[in-house]
Amino acid sequence: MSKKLTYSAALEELENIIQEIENEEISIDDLSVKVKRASSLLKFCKEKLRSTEGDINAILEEIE
Amino acid sequence: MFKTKAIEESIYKLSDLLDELQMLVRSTFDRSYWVIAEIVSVSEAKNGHLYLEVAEKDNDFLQAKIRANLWSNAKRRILSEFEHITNQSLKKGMKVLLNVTIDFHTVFGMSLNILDIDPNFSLGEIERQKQATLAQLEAEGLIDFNKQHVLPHVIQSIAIISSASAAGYQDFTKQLSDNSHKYTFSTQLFQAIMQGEKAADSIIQALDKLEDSADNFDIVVLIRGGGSSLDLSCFDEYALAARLAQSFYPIFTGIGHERDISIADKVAHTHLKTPTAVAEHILAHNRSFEDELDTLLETLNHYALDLVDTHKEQLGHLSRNLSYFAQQKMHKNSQGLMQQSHDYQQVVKTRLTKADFRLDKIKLILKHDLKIKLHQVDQDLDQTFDKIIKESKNLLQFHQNKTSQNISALAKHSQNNLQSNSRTVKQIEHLIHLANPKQILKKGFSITRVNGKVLRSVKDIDKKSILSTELCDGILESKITNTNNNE
Repeated sequence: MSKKLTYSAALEELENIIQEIENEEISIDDLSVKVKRASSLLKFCKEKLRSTEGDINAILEEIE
Repeated sequence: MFKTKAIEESIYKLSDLLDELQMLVRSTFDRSYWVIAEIVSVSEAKNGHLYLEVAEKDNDFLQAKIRANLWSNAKRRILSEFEHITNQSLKKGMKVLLNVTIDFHTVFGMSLNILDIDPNFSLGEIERQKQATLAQLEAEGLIDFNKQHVLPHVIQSIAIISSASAAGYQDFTKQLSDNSHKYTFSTQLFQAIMQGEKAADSIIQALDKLEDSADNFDIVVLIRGGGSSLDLSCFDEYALAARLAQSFYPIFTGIGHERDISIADKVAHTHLKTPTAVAEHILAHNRSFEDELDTLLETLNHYALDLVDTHKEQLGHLSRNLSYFAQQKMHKNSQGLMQQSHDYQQVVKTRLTKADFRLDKIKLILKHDLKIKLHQVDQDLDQTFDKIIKESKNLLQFHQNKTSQNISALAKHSQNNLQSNSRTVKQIEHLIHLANPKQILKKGFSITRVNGKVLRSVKDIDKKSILSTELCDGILESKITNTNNNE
């Protein structure tokens, strides 16, 4: 992992994904990939809010 | 002499002199006065009396200075009222309006006895001072300086400036860690004195220390509470306020002013009344981030499902369109074909008609030509026929002539031939007569036969055979006795 995922980065990516879907810039083929990515970002944020540093690394590895 | 005499006449004992001075002072200044002065120093004696030095300054130059005593019997009443109203204890630098009497003591000298202190004057002074500080901070752009920090989406790493023993610190950490959302935090305490004269410097030192620390924090929390609420004027001090404003972390305050907010609160990024309120605010901040996440999740679901629905609808639409357009196209094409075939028929018909016409024309021409040609051939044939007849007649005549010539020639030749032939026949008859075997037999020759076959050689003859020999007048039979070969 080259860069630590932050709340801001996660939020920004999430908002981008949602905007892309909203604007229908995403093909139906990519939709499930994007939704999956968005879910893992959401999960990352929610778990990071409640986790210690060690747990966060585990979550990050799960996402990346 | 003079000296001695003079001394004798007018020499006082010091005590007498000072007694006289005391009487003079007491008779001259026989009532109380209200004076404004600035406290230069305060010290409390073991006996409970409070000794102050008060002065008047003009741009830091002393204009007047005197001791002022607050006797223990009056002290409790005066101070409790003063502190209740101003939330301050008497301290150096404070401007006060004093009700005093002037006294001169033969041992302790000139001093003021404090009968009363007007707390409202000090309150006004404090407020005036505060306004001046605020105006200065405002002018320097420091009031909103710290508020320019943008808070991170989530606050989790917190530097706390407080004293470890303060109830406010305990409240804060407990409130944070016991939150119902189970959010986690990492907090680090930087100890400071939170009250009194040394507080401002101590807090500034703590802030320096945490900013120099290798750790990064999301915010700095300045909290106190639980102790005496007296002497919190440190939070109105310019130096502390200016330093807090310029911290490179957002500053949250929870320093528990009852009556109004301090200047430290005003320059802070976020100020709240109590440490507990600060903790709740942080939790709410994080909660709002999570709410935002939940909203995003909802939006995501909404749009994703929308997108799927839209595509479904589009597909349905497309499939309906497809069949419609296919039918349309086929209909159009079949119409086109029909039109084309109709056109084609028309063209063919026209061309056939034209061809018919041309054929008729050609037929007429041919007929005409043929007639002419036939007539010509007829004429030619007639001529040829006449010619043939004429030539045949000629030829026939010629051959008739030739034939009659040939007949006469033939008759002549035949007569000649007949005469020569009859002579030749007579010669041949004579020869044939000579060759007859009977004639030969008459001449003495005989013919020998065995079993009817003429015998021509003695070889291969069966010696038991009967030989029959023909002579000219009969046949005799004989047996073989011997044979000799001529060779």
